[in-house]
Amino acid sequence: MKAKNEADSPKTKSNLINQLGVVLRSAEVHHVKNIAVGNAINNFVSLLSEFVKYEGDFILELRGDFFFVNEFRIRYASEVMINFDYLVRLFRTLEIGTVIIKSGAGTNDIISLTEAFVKSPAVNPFETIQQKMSHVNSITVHKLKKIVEEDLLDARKMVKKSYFKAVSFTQGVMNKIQQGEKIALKKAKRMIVSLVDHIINQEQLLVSMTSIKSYDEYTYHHCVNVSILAVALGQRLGLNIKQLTELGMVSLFHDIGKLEIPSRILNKTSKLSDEEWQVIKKHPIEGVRLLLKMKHVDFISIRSAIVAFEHHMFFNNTGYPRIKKSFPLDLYSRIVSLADQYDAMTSARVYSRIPMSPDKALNLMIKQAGSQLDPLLLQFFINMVGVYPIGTLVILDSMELGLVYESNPGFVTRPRILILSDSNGNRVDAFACDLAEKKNDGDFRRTIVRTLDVSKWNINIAEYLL
Amino acid sequence: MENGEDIKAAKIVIQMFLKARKNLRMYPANNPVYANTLEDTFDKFKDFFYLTDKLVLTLRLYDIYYGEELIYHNNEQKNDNLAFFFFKDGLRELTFQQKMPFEEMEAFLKVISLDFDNEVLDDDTVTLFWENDFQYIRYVVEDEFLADEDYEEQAVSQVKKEKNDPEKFKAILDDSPPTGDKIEKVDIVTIEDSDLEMLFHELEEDANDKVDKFMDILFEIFYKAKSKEEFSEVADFFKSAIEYSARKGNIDSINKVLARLKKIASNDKVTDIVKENIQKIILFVGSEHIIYLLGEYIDSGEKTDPAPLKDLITYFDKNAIPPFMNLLSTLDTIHARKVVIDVLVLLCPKDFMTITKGLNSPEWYVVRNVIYILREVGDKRAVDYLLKKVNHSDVRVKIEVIRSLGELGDPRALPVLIECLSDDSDIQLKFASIRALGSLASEDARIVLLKNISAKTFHNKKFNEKKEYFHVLSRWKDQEMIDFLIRVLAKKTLFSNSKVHEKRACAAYCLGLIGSRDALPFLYKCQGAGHKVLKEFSDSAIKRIEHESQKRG
Repeated sequence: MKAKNEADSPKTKSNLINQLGVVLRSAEVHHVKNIAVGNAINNFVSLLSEFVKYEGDFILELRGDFFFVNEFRIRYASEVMINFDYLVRLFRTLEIGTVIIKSGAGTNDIISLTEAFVKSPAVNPFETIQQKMSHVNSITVHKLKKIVEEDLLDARKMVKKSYFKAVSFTQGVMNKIQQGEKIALKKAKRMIVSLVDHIINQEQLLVSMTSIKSYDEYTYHHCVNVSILAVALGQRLGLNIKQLTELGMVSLFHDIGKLEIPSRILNKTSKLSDEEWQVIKKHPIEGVRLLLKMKHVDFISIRSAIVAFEHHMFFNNTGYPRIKKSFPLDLYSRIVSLADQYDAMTSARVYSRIPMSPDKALNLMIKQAGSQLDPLLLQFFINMVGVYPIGTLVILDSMELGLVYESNPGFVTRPRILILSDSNGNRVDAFACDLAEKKNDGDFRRTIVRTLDVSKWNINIAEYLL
Repeated sequence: MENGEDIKAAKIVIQMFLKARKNLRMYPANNPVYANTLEDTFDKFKDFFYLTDKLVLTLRLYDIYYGEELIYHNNEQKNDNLAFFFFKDGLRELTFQQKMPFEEMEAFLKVISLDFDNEVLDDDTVTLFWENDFQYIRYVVEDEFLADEDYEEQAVSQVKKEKNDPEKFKAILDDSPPTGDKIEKVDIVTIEDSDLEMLFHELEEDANDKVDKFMDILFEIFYKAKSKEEFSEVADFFKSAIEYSARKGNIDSINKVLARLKKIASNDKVTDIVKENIQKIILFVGSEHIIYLLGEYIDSGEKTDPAPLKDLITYFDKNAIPPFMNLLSTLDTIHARKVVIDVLVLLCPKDFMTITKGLNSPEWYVVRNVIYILREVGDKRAVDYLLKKVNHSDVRVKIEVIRSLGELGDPRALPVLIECLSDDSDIQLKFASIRALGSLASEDARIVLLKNISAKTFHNKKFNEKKEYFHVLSRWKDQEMIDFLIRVLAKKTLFSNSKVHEKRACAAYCLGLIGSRDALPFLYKCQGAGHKVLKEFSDSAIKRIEHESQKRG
């Protein structure tokens, strides 16, 4: 019983994918007959033979950004992140969607698969691999399926529903807190679980919702957006689902202290006086006070209070509130600080009506790495939102105007976009296209040549993203 | 399925859920009933999966269906009603797959066995199922109740209300090449192994307890407080944090807070308000509530390091004694009682009288613990109280009293000990009295012991009792005692009298313990004795004396 459970456990599945990554990465550097590759293959075969004993075939499929083994979505820890990311990129480049390794496959079969993968040409890689593998009966490969727009539409609808539910819930919670009423934290957790679940399965879709900015409802959108961005970053860092839920909860309440700031200051459109700034700077402490009055002290309230207190404190111990005895910032505080800055900079707020474009915001954040922001976490954050974050307006080499609506971890410079106008500047019914798509000659169909400032051109991206 | 066997099997699984909810709540995880319930439930699942590979349950307010079949009904709106229990949290369907491992089923049963009515939880069944990350248990959830249904439509129309003018698109391209929007290229950074190492380190660090950090923040807020109300509020936060730490057994954190607070209070410049609030916190730490929480933690079976607890009680005053005394009657584990007893030994000098009140407890074990505490403290005032407990109805208490009287070394104990020596009701009591006389170590005690040994009736005592007498005598190592023992050892009898030989054997044993070389010639003689015990005891005594001599060189 124990052996069986171990063999088909999520960890074993994750180990198999990781080991396949090791095999292919080492084969990129060495010849397949090299001892390093040979050892990696032997390890893979050994894991595989244990697995197939209980599970039958090993079916590895790339769906969206995630691997599935025998229909199970595989979540990965940070220690296998490099190999997973590498394999996702490789599958996309080679246009491989599924690899089925049947029970009975041996070392020679895996060597054939490795050779076929590493020696594949740039043009029509999948067809070449398929042909090379045609003599290997125990392994079959299938082409990467294009994302069916209808499926995407359904997923988008669900994600949209969840997002607005979260915003509405946050609004309700904030109002209750302001009126001194008790709030149901069970419901808050339930809402966060729903968001985290979407982030795990549809990270890009939910992250795309954060690019919808509502000036009127900024506070509530901001809380939810920070929560989403923080959890998405947490997922990239390899946090487990319990930790992701905690992170989601604490980030939702990071700005709760603002409820205690008089609205005349909070909503002041002109420049704040020094005195008013001092009041604003009190919100981290007010946040701790509110949180501790809201619920009994437990693990979550402790973490929430820490994040509420520290989210404006900088990596180099500056920022606010100023403290007497310095201490290192909490991991969650540093994550939330990144998400908070990014969302705030890219949103229109009362004291900054013109939002920054996502790419400009990221560049500014890069400049702040090491001083205000944690440089290591920022690396992961940039990789998550991409070179062209969702909501970026772009001009393509075809002179079409596009809007980034989904980043592509396999090709960071080639996100999926919505075409908004043709090459003559005529508005078209927006349609999706994948910039990773190639023409028959192997060249890419479209390439970004320039980014534009959405706010400068006053494009309402909500019309397209919702 | 033929004959509806699967329906029957599904009904049995539901019955097992009900049974598991009861048994998992009632019994600790190491109880056989608990373990058997899990095993039985797993067996029932196996029975079902033998028939078909998936158990899909449709959940309604009062009913649970398997396919079209109603397999459970209860029309009460209570958590005892399994259908209602699932339904109220939004669960609408549950699916168990054939490959479900035992551990996953166990985790599922643990969740449904939680007492959601009485426990303070931020979770419901759905969030707990989710956190368990089940692989073979699937569920369909309805969560419309979380928010306003119409909000989405309103919000979407709000953000979409500003329409994009088609002319804008043209203008963008007309502004060709568009100016002002310098491409801000963001480089994607490759995550290197060294980055991952740093990340592992971060994650590892993050797993540490957060309480100390939280306390640091409370101190910062305390430093920034200005008004009386603000100080009082932060003091309350500290109290809550201390309560949490006590619940978790994190005594180190409490000590650190108290040390910092004491340091602040010792500063002459701080105001009375600050001092008052600090005092409030310190008093709270020594309160009945916190002491009970510490007791619960210690009693939970978690390992407790005594050192931080010892540090903590240096902050306690005499008011901490009664709650700790109360813990003596409520704690379940020996380990926890021992910890509390050690605490009371340290606290006793702060209020001796309150400790002695524990001698009136109706529970014999509390009385015994208090006697132990008094003995460990070594305060002679205890003798008066102990003498009153000599006639306690429980012999275990009596034994503890006698032992303590002996160790406290007060001459007033002598008559009581003599009286107990002649009490034939309990042999252990007698032994305790003999040992206590030894502990008294007085000349009077020695005389009593020698007198008893020399009495004719001594021969009739059981061998163990005789041996105990002689064992105790070994604490007097003077020549007079050695001579006495040699006389006993060398005593001749006309007839082979076993009772006399037993006494001689005991004397040999005692001489061995004393280590008297003068006794060796007499002991050698006894090596050839026909009496087995005398021979054995003499042998052992010789070996012991010779070994000791060799050691001394």
